[in-house]
Amino acid sequence: MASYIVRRLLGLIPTLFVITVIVFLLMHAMPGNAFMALVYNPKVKDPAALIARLEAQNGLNQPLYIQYFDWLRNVFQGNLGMSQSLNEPVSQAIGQALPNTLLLAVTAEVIILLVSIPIGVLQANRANKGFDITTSFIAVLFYSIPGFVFALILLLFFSFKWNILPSTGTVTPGVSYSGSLGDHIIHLVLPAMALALPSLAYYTRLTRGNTLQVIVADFVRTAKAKGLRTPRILFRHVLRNAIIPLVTQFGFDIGGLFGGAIILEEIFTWPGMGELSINATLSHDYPLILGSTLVFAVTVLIGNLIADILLAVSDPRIRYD
Amino acid sequence: MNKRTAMFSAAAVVTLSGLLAGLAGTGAFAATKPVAKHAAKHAAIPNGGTLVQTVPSSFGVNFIPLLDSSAYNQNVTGLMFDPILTINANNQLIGDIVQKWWFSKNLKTTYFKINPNAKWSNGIHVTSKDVELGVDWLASQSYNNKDNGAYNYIVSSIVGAQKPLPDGTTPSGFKIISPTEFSITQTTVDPTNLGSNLQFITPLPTFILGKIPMSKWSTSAFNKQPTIGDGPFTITQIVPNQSVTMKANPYYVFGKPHIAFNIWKVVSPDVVSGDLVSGQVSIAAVHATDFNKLKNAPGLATNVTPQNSYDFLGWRLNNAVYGKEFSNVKFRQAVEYALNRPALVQALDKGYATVVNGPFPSANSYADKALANSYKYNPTLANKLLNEAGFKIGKNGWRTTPGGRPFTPTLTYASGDSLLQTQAEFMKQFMNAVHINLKLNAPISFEQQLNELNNDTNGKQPIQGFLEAWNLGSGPQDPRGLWLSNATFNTTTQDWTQPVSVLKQNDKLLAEQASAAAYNPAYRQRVLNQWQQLWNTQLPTNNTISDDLLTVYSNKLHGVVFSPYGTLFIYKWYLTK
Amino acid sequence: MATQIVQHAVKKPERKVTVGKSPTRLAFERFFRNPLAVAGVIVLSLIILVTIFAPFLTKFSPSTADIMNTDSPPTALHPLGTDASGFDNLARVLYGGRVDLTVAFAAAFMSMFLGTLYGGISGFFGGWVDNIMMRFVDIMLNFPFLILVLALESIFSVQGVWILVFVVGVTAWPGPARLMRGMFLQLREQDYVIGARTIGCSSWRIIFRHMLPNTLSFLIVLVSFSVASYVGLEAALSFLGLGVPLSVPSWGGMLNASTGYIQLTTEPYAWGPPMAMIVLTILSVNFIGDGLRDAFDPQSKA
Repeated sequence: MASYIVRRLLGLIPTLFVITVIVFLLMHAMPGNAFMALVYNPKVKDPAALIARLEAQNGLNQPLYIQYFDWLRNVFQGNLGMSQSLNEPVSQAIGQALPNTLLLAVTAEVIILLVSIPIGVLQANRANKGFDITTSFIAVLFYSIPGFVFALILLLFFSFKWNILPSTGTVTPGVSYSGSLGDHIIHLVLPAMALALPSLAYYTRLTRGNTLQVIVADFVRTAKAKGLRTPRILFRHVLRNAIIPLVTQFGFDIGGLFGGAIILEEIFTWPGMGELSINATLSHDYPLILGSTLVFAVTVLIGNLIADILLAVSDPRIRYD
Repeated sequence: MNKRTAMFSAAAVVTLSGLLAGLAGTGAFAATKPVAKHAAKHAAIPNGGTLVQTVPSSFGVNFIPLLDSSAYNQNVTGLMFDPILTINANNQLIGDIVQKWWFSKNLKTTYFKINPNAKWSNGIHVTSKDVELGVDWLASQSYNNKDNGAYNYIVSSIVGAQKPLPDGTTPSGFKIISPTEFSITQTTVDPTNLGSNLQFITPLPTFILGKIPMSKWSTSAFNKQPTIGDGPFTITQIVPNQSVTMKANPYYVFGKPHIAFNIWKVVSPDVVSGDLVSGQVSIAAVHATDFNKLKNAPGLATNVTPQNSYDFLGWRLNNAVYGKEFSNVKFRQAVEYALNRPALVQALDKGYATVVNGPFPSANSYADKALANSYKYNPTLANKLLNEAGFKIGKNGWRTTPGGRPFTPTLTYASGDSLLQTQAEFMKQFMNAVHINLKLNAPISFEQQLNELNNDTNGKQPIQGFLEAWNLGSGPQDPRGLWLSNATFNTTTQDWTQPVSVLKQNDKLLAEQASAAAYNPAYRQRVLNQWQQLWNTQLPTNNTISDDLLTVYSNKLHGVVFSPYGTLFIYKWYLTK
Repeated sequence: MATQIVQHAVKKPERKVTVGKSPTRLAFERFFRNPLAVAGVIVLSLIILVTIFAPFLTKFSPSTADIMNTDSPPTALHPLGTDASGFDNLARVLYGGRVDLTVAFAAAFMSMFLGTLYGGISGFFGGWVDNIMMRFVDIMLNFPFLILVLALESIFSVQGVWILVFVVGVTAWPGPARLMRGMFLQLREQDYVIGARTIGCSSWRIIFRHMLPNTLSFLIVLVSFSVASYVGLEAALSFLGLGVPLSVPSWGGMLNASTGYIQLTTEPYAWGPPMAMIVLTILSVNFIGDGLRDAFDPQSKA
């Protein structure tokens, strides 16, 4: 297993290389760069010269392959470059955005798991009964409303109509309690709900399906024969086996969650990776695009690796040779 | 209304003034209204309270004035740092940190006297040295070769500042006369220079920045969060990418602002209207459809102010495919007649807009009122002009070029703003109605559109017709940057009109409006009117409409001064309970 | 794991099964006894029919802007009012499914077909084949969706449903492939697969006859959810201004144009119908998916 993990980790390097090359080529295929709009002012005496200077400063006048290897060399030296639209180091921009994304993702994930696993198990226990059908229906309904509409509806009620939760940001500016734990929590509630509720359906469904399959297994029958009570069987024996695919799925999702919920972050002005990367893309900010791609790729790949390991641990019969 | 509108249009509407007058505006007061009188008159004005204003997208990270080109940063630095002069709601140049100014006989040198009340937020007086530092900075090699460098034009007319100077060197045209007096000598006589360039010179605190080498400014702590300013508010807290909290400057040149705290908050355009209703935001500009519905909302007040900006339909006159056709003045006149602009005003802005017939919208104090009623919607006349110009209607119902080729021009517009897409749809219909088979391209990013416009000397770029907008900013308008025949930003191309004699006349008039004689405002206006009339007959671009600025704000907020370039004089605003 | 144990358990007929009917036929009978699933089929068919026959249901073109009649509330002429460009909302709802359904079903097809095939092969063979194939999936999983959309749009200077279909085709399958590969990795160690191999069954036969049917219930959930997420995708792209052009009607675009804070309360006639269409589509796809899974999963009690 250890050698497998090492091999996989080494395997990440060529994968990351290919991914960054693809992103690099794609972003240069979009005409126009970050400086075009920057100096679009008729009062600038010689805009062409200014653009040329900014491009030269940022190495954009070099052949593409040299630009790429320059970037790569800097990355190996721990330098992700300067963002062209934000005028700050890429590492700093990511350093500010990543914790916000993490906080939101972890909170949402905790909500998802805490809610969907019990519901899924109970649904399986009462398959096709009233509880199962109603909760499934509600979950799928949440899932089917497009994310931004769902977020706006939450905002409409909780923030605009009842004014009990703030609509934007991670802290309240300009008040004495700014940045306190409570302040963070009230800002987290709406975006975390908007992120978690639509995903409930999928995880509930997975839990329900897995539980249904396990519930008729021999060992469950044995447990029943031994006279154990249903809740104990459900949550001790069945759940343990039913949860494995869920955890695997979770591993796959980790990467995606780090990518941030672009639209939710936009709506709630939650300054995370999603907002950062979409702004980078729209303003053709090359170093920032590459930097955020790298962060996404590493998290997705590590998430996949974790999923693979979990899969192996959960089922010793799987061979990795 | 439309998602991400504000962010995109902030990019897609290009501002002509170097600095946005800013939605908050820089504090200043009309010289005719002394502070004392103002304060006495409003003795009962309550002090205190927190104002929440919005920006649609994240701030940059540089807060030394002009170091960052982000318009949102300039909202913040505009409140923290006052320039030497400013513009009032009537587009007149008025004093700010500088109280009085006068010209030398040959008009090349301007003398300035600093307001005796001008102090930094720690109580130290603003001196000529501070102004000098501001000039040196914009002229320095560090600013121009390493940092942004985009605002060098503010000082580039000063004698000795044509090329970047070694850090800390003062251009020879800047002279300190006394701690409160200084003079600036320009290389040429130019009546627009003071209002459109020198005005923006911003004093910088020598007792802080003077001690740091300019090459280190961008990495200094002062740049990340300035501690001292000469504007109405100073920064107290910056939450990266979210908000900047500012508190009133007790030493502000025009007296301590009534409002205690001003917060700039990044708020997605999608939720601004909701935040206004729930009171989480105090003042914000909204789109017409929302505006109409917020008008009657409890607790809110509204304001409509015409803006000094306009939308236009441009044609690449040097285009390799249809450049010759676009260059025909009758084609452009026909297009202008074919556009039902009053309908555009209704459809796009619910009536909150005006038709634009010249290079200046009617909100602009230099606009020639005589052009107001030209080019009334008249498709018959449009057809007649097109027929005269030889664009014959073919068997398929579409016009051909005078040479008999199929005529299927394309229209390019920026993505993101759905109103721009709606506008493009309407343009297509107007053109189709006069048998011009205008086709819409897929929307492209604004950067790509600029790329195609800027790199098109041979007319080979795909861009043919295009939608864009100009924000003309404040101050004495200087159309040379846009309309001189060789101006880089003449987006239509360098030879926008035929015959050459017209072009020569254009350049002659533009030179005249910036000559020594044009220091006389009446003379300057006369020349500008002549030029506007020439422009109006030639229509280098088909200007369409000018949107009004629609502001919604809490009815507890009072004293807001609205202008065609944004709200002004924040130190006069106050909040009631 | 437990899946196959179950499989064995249910191979024994515990219910009265009429001899002579094929398992498929039985599955369909079970499916049509599920009221929700049947309702799903009916609703989805109706939506598809409406979308196809839209021209017969409204006289308005969804792509002809009417400048004199923008943002109109419902009238006799325009029962659902008009939008900011003067497009008739009813016509746009009727035609709008063409974009959303095309993108969604393209995504579903790709994730089902390519995902299963790719994941299946990778998981079945394991070893270095698996290793190489999964590295490629890693790359594809990281394919920067938005940059791809933007780059394609600017390179080809087109924006529209086919770009979306293409991009979705490129980016939809790696996730499912990853999951299917996990399933196959588990399955290939099962006794019955090992058994089949011992008696000399070909790899393809094992994959298609023995392993694939066992992944079916999983696959169906996967596909029904992927349809749902790709119906929403077009809406999400519209939100970012990267969807289809304004003149092309789409439910996502309509929602995007009419769900500001104010419109949510004052203009339900504008956002309600496209929202209902999206929600109904996703609900029916899910019910159909559930019905299919229950029908083909022999142990289910449905």
